[in-house]
Amino acid sequence: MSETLLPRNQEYYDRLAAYVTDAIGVDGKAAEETMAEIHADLLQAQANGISAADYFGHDPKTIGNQLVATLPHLTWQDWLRFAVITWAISFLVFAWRYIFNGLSRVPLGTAAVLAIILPVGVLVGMAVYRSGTFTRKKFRDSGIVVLIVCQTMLLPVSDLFPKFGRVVIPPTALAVIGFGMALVLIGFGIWLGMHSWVFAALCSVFATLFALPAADALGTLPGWWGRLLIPGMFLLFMLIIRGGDALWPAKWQAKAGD
Amino acid sequence: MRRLPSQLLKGSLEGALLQVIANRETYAYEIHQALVDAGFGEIADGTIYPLLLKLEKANQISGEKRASPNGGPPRKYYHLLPAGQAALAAFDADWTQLATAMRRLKGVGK
Repeated sequence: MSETLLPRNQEYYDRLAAYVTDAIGVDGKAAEETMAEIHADLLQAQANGISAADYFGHDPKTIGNQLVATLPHLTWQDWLRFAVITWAISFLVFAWRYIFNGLSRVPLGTAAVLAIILPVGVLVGMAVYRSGTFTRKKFRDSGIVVLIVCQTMLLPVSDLFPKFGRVVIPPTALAVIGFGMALVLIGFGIWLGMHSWVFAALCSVFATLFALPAADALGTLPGWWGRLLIPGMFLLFMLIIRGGDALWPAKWQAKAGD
Repeated sequence: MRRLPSQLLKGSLEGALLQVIANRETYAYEIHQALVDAGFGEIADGTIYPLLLKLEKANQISGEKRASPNGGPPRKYYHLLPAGQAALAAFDADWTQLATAMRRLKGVGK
C-alpha cells in the first residue's frame, strides 16, 4: 500500500482536513487524530482503486460539518487560557513593535486594545476564509494566509490607531524583557528539536527583533561593532539553536514524542 | 445494489455499526466494507465517522490505535463497551418489533 495519496485524493483530503481542523472551538488534537484515521482509510481505498471522493463522499462540506459537530470542543477553561495567552503574546508583540520603531514613550494602552482587536479579527477572518475551503480554486493553508494578511495589512493598519496610555519604560526593564524574550525563543527553538536551518533562522529573526532594542537600551556599540550587531546576533542565535538542538537529549525535545 | 433512502439509513446505521463492532474489533475502513458486503448499498465512509465519534463520546465504543496488519499506517480499532452492548440490545428489540409490524401489515394486505 502506498504511503502517499495521489494529487487529486490529496487535495480532497487537504481541503477536508483544513475545514475540520480550522473550525473555531474544535479540540485540535482530537481533530488531527480523526483526520489521521481518515487519511489511513483514504490510502486503503486508493490501494483498492477507489478515489477519495467516491469513497468518502461527494459532499465533503456536509461531512465536515458533521465531523465538527461531533468532535470534542474547547471548554470554557480552555477558552479562558487561550484568550489570556493570545492577549499576552499580542500585547507583547504590539508593545515591542512600538519600542522597535523607536518610540520613547510606549503607548501601552493602544497595545492593550489592539491585542484584543487583532486576535478577534484573525478569528473572524479565519472563519470567513474557512467557509470558502471547498469552493476556492486553489487550496492554501490558512496559517500562511493569516500570517501574510497580518504582516501586510493588519499590522500596518494598526499603526493608524490613536496612541494612548503612553509609558516610559526604564532601559533596565527593556533589556531584561528583550534579552529574556530572545532567550525564551532560543530555548523554544532548541526544545522543538526541528533540526532545520530554516527554522533556526526564523527563530533567530524573532530573537534578534527582541534582543536588538534591549542592546540599544544599554547603549549602542560604536563604529563597525555597532553595524555588525544585527547580523552578529542573528548568526549567533542561529548557531546556538542549531548547536543546542543537536546536543540537547532527544527525549527532552518535542519532536521525540512524534 | 439499490442505494437505500438516507432517512431509512440514518435510523439504522448506528445499530448496524454497533453490530459490526460487536462481531469483532475493527477499524473504520473494515466497518465500511462490512456494511457494503452485508448489502447496505453504497454508503459514503464520511457518514460513518461522525457516528463513530458520537458512539465513542457516549461511551458505547472505545478506540485503540494499533499497527496495521497489512503494513500501512496505524489504525484505530474499535471495541464495544457495556453501554454499547445495552444500546445494541435495545436496537435489536426495536428492529425486531418494527420488522414484525411490517410483516403483519403485509399479511393484512394479502
